[in-house]
Amino acid sequence: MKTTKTDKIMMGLGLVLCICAVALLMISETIDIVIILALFVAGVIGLITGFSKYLGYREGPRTDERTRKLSAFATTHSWFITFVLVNILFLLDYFDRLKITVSQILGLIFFVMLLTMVGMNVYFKRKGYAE
Amino acid sequence: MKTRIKEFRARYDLTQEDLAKKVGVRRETIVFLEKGKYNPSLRLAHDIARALKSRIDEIFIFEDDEN
Repeated sequence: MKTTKTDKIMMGLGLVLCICAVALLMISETIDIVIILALFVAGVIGLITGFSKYLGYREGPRTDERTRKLSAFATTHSWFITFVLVNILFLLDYFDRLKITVSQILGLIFFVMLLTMVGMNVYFKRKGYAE
Repeated sequence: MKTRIKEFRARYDLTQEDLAKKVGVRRETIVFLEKGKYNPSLRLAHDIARALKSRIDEIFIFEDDEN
């Protein structure tokens, strides 16, 4: 099996972040636990991403012009859905139909962006082509 | 768009995997090309034609009613 340079960097960075989080937890008493937890989660995500690509490595290219085109389509659709959501939220706020905090809006947008991006990617990859 | 990739592959005894490796794409891309569901770039069409020792217009057949 073989890993690309990006995967190795991803795993290395993940490991460093995890070590930093554990070190901060042991040394510092003033730093907020949320920051340490965020560092640790970021590290674990980096490790998992790099390692899953390492395990899933097969002969041949991972991407080609078709898969890149599909990803571009998925990104465009995700962007558009998020754009529509932002407009709806704006109108709801303008006409006083919704009481929601900034944090909640950001959380919702973040969630929708992530979900639609993954969802669209899965949809187009299953379909196999996009015209 | 119709393609004669399958026919030419058989002529040179190449599997989808072999052709995919030759032109540097995933095997699934060859599958969708053979089904006529994916339109390749000019570069990929050229590479496939070269791998199958023929011309682009022999491999990829455009029909008149297509946009």
